Amino acid sequence: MKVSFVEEAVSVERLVKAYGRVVAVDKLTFKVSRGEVFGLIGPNGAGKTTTLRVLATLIKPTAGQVEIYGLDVVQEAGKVRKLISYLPEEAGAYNNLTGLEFLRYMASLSLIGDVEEAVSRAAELSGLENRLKDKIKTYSKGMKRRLLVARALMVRPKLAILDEPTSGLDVVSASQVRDMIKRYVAETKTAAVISSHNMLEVEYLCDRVLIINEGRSLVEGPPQELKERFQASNLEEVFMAAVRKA
Amino acid sequence: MFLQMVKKEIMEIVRDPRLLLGMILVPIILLPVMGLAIRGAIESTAEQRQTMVALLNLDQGHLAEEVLGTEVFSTKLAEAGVTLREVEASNLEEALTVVLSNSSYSSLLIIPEDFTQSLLNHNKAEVKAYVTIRSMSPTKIAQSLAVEIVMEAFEQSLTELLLHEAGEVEPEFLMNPLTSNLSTVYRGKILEGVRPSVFIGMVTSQLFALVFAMVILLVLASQLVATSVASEKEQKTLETLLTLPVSRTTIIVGKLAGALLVSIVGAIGFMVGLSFYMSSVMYMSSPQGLEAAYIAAALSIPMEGYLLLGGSLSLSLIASLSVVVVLAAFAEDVRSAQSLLSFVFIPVFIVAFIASFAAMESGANLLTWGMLAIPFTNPVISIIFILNGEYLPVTISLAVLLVETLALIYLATKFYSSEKVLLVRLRLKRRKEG
Repeated sequence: MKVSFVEEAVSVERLVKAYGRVVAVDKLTFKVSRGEVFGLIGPNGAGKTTTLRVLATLIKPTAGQVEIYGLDVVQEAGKVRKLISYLPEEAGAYNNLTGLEFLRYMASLSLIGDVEEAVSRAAELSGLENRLKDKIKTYSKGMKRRLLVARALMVRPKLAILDEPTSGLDVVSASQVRDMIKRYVAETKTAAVISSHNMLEVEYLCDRVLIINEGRSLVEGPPQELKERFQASNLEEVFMAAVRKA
Repeated sequence: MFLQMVKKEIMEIVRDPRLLLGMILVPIILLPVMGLAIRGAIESTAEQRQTMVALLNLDQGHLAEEVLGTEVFSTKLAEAGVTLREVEASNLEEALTVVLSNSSYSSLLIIPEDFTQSLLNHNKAEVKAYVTIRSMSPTKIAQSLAVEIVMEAFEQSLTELLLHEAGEVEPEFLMNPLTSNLSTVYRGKILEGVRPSVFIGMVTSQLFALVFAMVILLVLASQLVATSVASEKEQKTLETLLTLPVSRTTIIVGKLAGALLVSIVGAIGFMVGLSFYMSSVMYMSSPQGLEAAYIAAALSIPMEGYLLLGGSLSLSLIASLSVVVVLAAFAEDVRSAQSLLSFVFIPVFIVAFIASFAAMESGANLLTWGMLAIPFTNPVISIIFILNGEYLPVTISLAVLLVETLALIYLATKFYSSEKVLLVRLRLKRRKEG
């Protein structure tokens, strides 16, 4: 398959997305390699969710070129969907299903080989154990998010697109979710694009980050390199300095 | 303190637009519209009020002839707009054949051979009438019941005649010298001894119950689909679903099929409950089990009728649900999806009511053809046509409905394939999102 020869998991070239007169994303360009966790960071309204939705084939670019493993997200959306797994921000699940039923349903729709194998993988990833037999409406927010992240990763996607994967989670749950993502990408040599406005989290999780504000790209690079470049002690300071500079 | 609470409650209720619509605007608009529709329909057929009643006079004596010739009798008939015409027949069967083959006759009145003889012996004479019910149109029904006016006028004239002719008789006999025996003829079937008023009551109540059941089914299924789509949007499971390698047609058809199955189970439950209710009401209004059985037999729809009705209802459901799938995607959450639906349903109900009345009143015309072409109103009109034995318009409309249903599923799939399905709501919230 074409995918195995392409080293670039994601290639975004001068992406523009406008809603009427409002430009949500403005000439954004970045690339993500295999084995990399790439972070899109920025404040609320920066254009992170819009960019991820374009990657996930949900919305179409107004201009520019977006490819996932060499496949165009508009022309070859069907093929792209076989490679990706998308987790929306603040997503919920079907509350009247049990955790296991939900995982089984989602696995069966993902057209992967063995549904039960994927489900047991998700069960292990989520760490929810016996609670998977309970209805989702009885879960805490943290449990629900772990279930959903496990759902996104159980199908072993070539590219995981995760929008604010730890939003609204307490310290312990957030750390568990971060470990899940990091372990998955390292073990499978695939790629993940995550968005976050929590810069400290991104610093820990991402190999490379792109800071965006008002739909435009500000700076890009590995967190350590950016900190050195801006002589900052953390990414938050990098962000503030980058905004000032812009 | 108490007054403050009441004030706040009233303010909150009054400021809810749905309440304003449901409690104030709808009755103000709906009821007058319904009234106007009925009046319009009746007035449009007012010129045809002239009713023709067939008469078979077998009396071997002189009394019947004399009564029919009195001036009082003919004046009363003229006032009621009834023409009495004697048919050439030697017995009941022949007379009925004549009446059934000529649609201008609304009923048949029969004066028996021993009419004069019985009365002279101071026995009550029995007068029979067969009332033909050709459609459930209220004006036609009123025409059919004109035979009762004839019977009443006949009896009054007879009483006056007997006052002069007979010697000493009991006043009770003099006031009511006749016993009347009314039967109904429906779709060529003779329901011996079934009074037309009872028959009409049964048929209309059953008809409205069926229409009501179908409307409930449509509403129930639509609510299910709207809730399902809106909660998928609210929970963002729709967003996840749309990124899976599943075709949009599968998603749409899956949703429709799920809702369809649940609502069919619901509808079966409803119909079972309804039939229990109907049977208990039937026994209450008609103590003679015989009448109820006759009526049930006359109302029974043949298999092809059921097939047509089933086809109409299923296609109409699928087509309507395809519209709801798209409509619900415009709503932000379950609550607003429900309100959106209620805004759509109210005009649909008004149209369906007017249409069903129009279909009952005048059969296939421009309005009913139009209503047959609308998925939501098709089954309501179809059932009236099927009960009247008119299958052709229903069959033709099914073909139209099939094309419409396929087109609507295609459009819904297109809508879900575009980014609009997410952006309709996104546009409202865009400034808050990234």
